[in-house]
Amino acid sequence: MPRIVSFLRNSFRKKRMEQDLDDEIRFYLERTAQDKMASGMSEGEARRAARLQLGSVDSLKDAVRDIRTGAMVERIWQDFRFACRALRNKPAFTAAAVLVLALGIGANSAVFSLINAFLLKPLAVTKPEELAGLYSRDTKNPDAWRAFSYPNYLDIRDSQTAFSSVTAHNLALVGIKEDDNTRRTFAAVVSSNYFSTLGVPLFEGRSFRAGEEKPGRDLTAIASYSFWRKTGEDPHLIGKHLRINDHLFTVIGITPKGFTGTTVLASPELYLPLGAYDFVMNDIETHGKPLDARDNNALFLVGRLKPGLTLQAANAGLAVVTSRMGRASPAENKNQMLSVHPLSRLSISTNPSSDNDLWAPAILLLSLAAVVLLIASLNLANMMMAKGAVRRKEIAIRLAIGGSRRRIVQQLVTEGLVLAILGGAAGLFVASWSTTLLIGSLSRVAPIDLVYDSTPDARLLAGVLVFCGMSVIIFALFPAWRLSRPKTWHDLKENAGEDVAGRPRRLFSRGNMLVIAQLSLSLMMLGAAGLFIRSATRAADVQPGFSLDNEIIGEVDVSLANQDEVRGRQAYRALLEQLRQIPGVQSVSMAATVPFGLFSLGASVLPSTSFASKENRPMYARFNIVTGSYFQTLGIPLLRGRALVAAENMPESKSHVAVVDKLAADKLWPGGNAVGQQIHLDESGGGYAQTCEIVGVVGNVREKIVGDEAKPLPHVYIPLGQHYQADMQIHVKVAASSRDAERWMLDTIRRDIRAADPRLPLLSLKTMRGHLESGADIWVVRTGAHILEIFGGVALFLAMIGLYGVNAYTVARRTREIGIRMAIGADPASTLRMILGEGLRITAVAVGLGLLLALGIGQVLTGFLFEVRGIEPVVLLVAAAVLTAVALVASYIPARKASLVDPMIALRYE
Amino acid sequence: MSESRTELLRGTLDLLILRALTLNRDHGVGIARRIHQISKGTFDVKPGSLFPALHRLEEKGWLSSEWGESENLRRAKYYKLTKAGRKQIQNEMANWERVSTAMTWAIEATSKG
Repeated sequence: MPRIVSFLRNSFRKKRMEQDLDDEIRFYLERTAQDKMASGMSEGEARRAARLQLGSVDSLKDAVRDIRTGAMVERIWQDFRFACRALRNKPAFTAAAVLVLALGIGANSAVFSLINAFLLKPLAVTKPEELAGLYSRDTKNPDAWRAFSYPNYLDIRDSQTAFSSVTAHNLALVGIKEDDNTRRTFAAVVSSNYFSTLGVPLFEGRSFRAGEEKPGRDLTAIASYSFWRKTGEDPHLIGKHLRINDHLFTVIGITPKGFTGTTVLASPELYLPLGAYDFVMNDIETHGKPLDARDNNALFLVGRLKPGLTLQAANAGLAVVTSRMGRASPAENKNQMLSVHPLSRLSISTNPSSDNDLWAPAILLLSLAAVVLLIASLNLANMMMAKGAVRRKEIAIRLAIGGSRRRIVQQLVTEGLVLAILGGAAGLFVASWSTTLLIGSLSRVAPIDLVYDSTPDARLLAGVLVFCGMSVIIFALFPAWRLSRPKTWHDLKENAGEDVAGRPRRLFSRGNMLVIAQLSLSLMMLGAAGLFIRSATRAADVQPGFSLDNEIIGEVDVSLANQDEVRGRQAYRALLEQLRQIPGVQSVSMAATVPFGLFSLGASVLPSTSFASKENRPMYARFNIVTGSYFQTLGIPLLRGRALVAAENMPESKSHVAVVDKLAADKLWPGGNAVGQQIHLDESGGGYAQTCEIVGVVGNVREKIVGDEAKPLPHVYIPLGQHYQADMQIHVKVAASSRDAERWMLDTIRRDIRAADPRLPLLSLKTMRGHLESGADIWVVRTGAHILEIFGGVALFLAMIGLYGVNAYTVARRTREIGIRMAIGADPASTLRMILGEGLRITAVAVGLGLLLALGIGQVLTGFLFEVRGIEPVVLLVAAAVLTAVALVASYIPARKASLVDPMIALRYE
Repeated sequence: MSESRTELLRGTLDLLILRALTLNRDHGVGIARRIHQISKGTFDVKPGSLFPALHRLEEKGWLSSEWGESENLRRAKYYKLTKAGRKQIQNEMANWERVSTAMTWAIEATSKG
């Protein structure tokens, strides 16, 4: 108890009370001293005597404080009990209010849970604020960042820096053999001090040893907690062998629950020591270079700052290391500058990146959820006003006998707080359930394990309390203030419920205003939802520049079967030949990357005409390695020149050729002819650098729907003969066929690939449309639309309840008036029209206002939509029609009830 | 001014304070002086019990307070009875009536033994 008291004492009007008490005591002292001087004491004596009489000031103050806080606690407790009793006595109202709040607060809590998980919740490591990323950039080309080679990492690790420890890591997409299948999954390849740098004790087993950074015969692996869960919490997992990329790994440990590495949410399933690098790292990353090559910039570095040191201090310290490294190995490290930046929570990247991009959609979603809460609160405010109207008389009496207005407001607000807390608790369940569902749905399209914990933490609870508080202000404080206005003359009258002048309610009465606000805000939400739905439909109908139908894609990787380039090329050649034989197959081809896929390659392109001039900055283009009939297989039109030919698939072909798309051709040679021109290609990351002759121009291809790269990018294609990659995508174009035939085709291709080489793992096989549908891009657009649909639906539902409530309340209040009207000859139809008309007038005003709001939000949303402008007349029309239809229903039911009023009963009413 | 001349019974002080404020508002010193006066010098309320009592009565809603200027133009906190406070005097008096009658009976019964 004392702690609670002191807490309350600290939080409520403490300063003012203390000041007053001091003044009061000072006055007492002065006055007593004066009295004593008047009776003949000297000033000094009088003061002393007064002080003596006062006794201990501290204990006096303590006594007064205890009384004040005690009384306050008592009052709060009293109000709380009163509120609980009042709510228990009206279970229907309480249930409705809690439901309304659960929807409103639930929507906000759900969005906030996601924001928390993505942007706020600290990493599950020791003192995450001490971790920072190390980056290296080219001083001559400030946009060119690169990762670190293993030798460079060792130099930095062993230098005197502001870091107490530096760890290196990268992600590898590996194939893990499970029974007969090979499953693709992400493994983190980490230095031996990874777990100690992050300060994460393993759940079980041991961490990597320094020796395991060297390639060796005894490969080890640490499983993630969720990997262990997938094995059914196998008690004997440690010591077992996993076959990864055709190598045997012994499991030596399990990471703790909730650990996701240096990023949040997404977690590799396995952690492998650097010694495994040469066996598991994808050639898309390594370009065939071993880990210990100083020019293989393969690792991302994360350091733990020494306690109390800042990023600035670390940056200053790195300058020395930079120049020493530049001197020691000038070939690899010239013009490089090291710097330290905060780690991104969401990506592992060569350049420092912040997660701030995510704040815009986060705030948008939170604002839209806030609108739902606003509607819910307005709705509840109306309910509270209606309920309060019944209690008007009681309140008026209390005011009349000297009850303070503040006390009454406090009591009504306490009631609101209890409701809000109940609603908030229910909202937390809604949030936990819906976000788990959402992350579950995301994990079906995400290539990596998602570790999401929906248990509320302190931040989420604080957020929910804020939502509760905001809603209380609207739905409890405001009505309480209105209800407790001292207007006793009116409220003490017999029929306070009935209108004074017997006039119909004005269109812009307070209750109607609340309903109009709800209706127009929900129209705005419907408009926003409509835009997102339209955006999702457009995204699904996207014309990417290649054909989506009758296309099958599959992923194979010969390196997972431990085969080198020569064997790999043979295997792929044989595979293509075999697939071409299948009846119904029209064309077969392979490519290094697939549109809307997990990986993409990039290259800088410089036309030969500008080789000399340094002024020209290279053009960035998407880069792909393809086999001869690629364009034909994907249905990408050849616009000029020729396509690649089969001979160019062979490494023996010595010509260096490339095909560019129209976008690239137009950018490099506006208005001119690209065919026959020379370009210099330099693959980002340094895999391929060559001067090629352009032999053809093909149509543009779109590879993304959302994000930075949503705008079409220029493309450059080179034949497989010029550059080898082990991880390849098979493209098969088949004759138009039925669903069954399609399934047969998929089975046949799967069988044939297995027959061609039983050791060659087929990592995926699906139709192009299926690939697109299961991709993250479509998911984002669709999920955005779904969330907005839910928000819009909830908003509409709440507004409907609100309109229905007001109409029903009006009818109930006017029963006698309606009875009189009908007694003097009004027929049921005209009564119905009258009440319906009132509902429709409210709706008309709301639709007008709502359309304006919808236009406004359309402007805000434009940046988040795919090929949809902010103003879509169809969307606005449909939204307004839906709202009007719902409003009609909500008005019709009470109107019909009014038309059935029996005048005889109505006149005896009350 | 003898010390602890009479121990105040719990609850008695409240009644005394309320009585002292029946006519007009007053500050702490004034209230103490008035109690001294109306009890014919029997009760001498010490600040250590006076101030907590004043604050308690205010919390109960029987007194309200306001800041005003004293006779010698100093800022002083004045207490006055609220409507509820006036009503409470009746209750307290009835209460006291009962207690004192009961006490008288009890004492007489004992002395007759």
